[in-house]
Amino acid sequence: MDHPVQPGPPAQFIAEMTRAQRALYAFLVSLLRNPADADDVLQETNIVLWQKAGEFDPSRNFMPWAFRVAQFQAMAHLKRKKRSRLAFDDALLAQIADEAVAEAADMEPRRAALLECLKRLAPDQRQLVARRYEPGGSVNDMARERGTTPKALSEMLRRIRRALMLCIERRLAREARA
Amino acid sequence: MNGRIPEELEGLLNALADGALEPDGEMRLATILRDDAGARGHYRRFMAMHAALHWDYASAATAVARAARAPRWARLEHFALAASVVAAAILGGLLFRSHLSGTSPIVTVAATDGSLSWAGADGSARAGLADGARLEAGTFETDGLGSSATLAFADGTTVVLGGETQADISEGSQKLIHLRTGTLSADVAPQPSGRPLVVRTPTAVIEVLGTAFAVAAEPEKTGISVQRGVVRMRRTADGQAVDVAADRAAVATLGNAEPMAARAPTDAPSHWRLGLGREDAERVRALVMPHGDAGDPTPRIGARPYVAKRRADGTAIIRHGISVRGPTERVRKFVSIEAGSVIRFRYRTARPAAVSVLISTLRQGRVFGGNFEATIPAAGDGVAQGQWRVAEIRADAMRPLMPSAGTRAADTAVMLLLISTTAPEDGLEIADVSVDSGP
Repeated sequence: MDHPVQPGPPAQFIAEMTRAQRALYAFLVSLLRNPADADDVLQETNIVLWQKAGEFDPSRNFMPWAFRVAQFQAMAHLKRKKRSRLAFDDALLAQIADEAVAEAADMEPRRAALLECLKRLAPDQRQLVARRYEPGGSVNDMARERGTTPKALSEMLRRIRRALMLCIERRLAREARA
Repeated sequence: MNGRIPEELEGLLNALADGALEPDGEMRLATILRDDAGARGHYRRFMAMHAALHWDYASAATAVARAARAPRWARLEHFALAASVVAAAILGGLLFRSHLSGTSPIVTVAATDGSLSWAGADGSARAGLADGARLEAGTFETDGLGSSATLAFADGTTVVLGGETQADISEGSQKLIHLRTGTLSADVAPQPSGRPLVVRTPTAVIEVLGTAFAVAAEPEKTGISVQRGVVRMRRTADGQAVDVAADRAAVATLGNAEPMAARAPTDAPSHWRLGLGREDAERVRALVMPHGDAGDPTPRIGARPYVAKRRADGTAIIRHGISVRGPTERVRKFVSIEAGSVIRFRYRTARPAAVSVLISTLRQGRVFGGNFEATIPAAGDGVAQGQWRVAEIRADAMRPLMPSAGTRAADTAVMLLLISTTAPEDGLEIADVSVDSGP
């Protein structure tokens, strides 16, 4: 069987695509609200980006273009899954997507600030975050392990996330003034 | 709108993040977001934080966790396939989760050549790690082209990281390695059923229960060669998977133009010559001058600076030379070394300088074969500077830098060849590099 080998995209495209993975994943989480779905759609997005590499104009900004491809894949995924779009309808998702595209450049500074803010958490709080976000981490399991209720555990996570969000904003504001 | 999130919105977002948002809560959240640009800003920033935590803590094994629940892989209990994989970016400064029990060390540095650095989940970092150091889960990086490091788990599993390799390593309910870039080989002790060791690269997921293999990763392709046992490798691009058994190899690319297949590995030839065509030039780190220059048309290669290793304080030791690496699909192997193999090249320097030759190897049956070095003394006063000299180095006489991996270069395959001096003023240039199995 003959399988002609297609020439690959240029190295610059591959580098851009690699750099964009984290931001694309975050963008998809904001549209799909489910990290597992975002995993699947990111894979599908990468395949389309690869196939469309020849259409990309290297003089343009890669991220907005890639975000639009991801947005299309996300909408198609929701349609395939027959997820109810009574709540997050197409118009709201488009609005979230448009605003996320405009803020794409903010993602890396926010991530860097998050890393610093995580260091400032107390050790038991960091451990709670690690446990929640590791594979299979669930509030119910964690509550059982700690001998507490899911509601109490959720409240702990809520306080930690609040602290992280405030810390991130303070750090970014300080850096903007510097 | 950068202040605190309003309480109702915060409650809804946290419920969403923890999978506890009921349908009426989702409706309420959508209503708030639809009418309020500030709320949408809070939503985007909250979800970006949520995604970042997931990416760094969970994406290394999310595919495996979901695969364990997928019924269509239930029969393949020896392999435990991954369902899908996020193609990871090559990033520095990553946050990583620590062991379930807290901050227990998971690996011991068994041997190093060059330098190894480590960054932990709590932001701590160490460079220039010595043999015997015990480390928690984190990001491991061999600093410098010629650096290698052997890490040992408590169950006897060993992982060797090659030069300029970056990998996130953890051990919770199973061992997880995210090979972001570079080369690693592993000799894996039998793993508990249903909890294989998983290696993830930008283009593939590899799961093993007990085997010896080597894998090389770069952004658009992953090559694997298995020495013992069997692994399953799944290609990210289309989910196609292949079982790779002992003495077989396979490649997973970012594209899906070719079907995945395990094949007999192409033995690296025992005779090799460095060409200066485009294909070779892509694997050479040097100033390639295939037509010489205006003053001298001799095809040659000029030295370029590279990081050889890092000191304990993190400062780099720079050398100046050329490096040659083999193709990813052969796990970097490009020439076989036999008992009588000789490395030859012509070289010249602008001033007297010692020239170092280093090879990093893979060994059949033992995977990582060790690093070997030879030094050519600086030319004496009788040699005119700028005059071409011929170097001939018997590979088997080269000094082993990691004796635990091997004391002789014979019966190995070269993954990396480095020829260098210590200073840019040495002006090292090299031509006609070859490796032959005999004189």
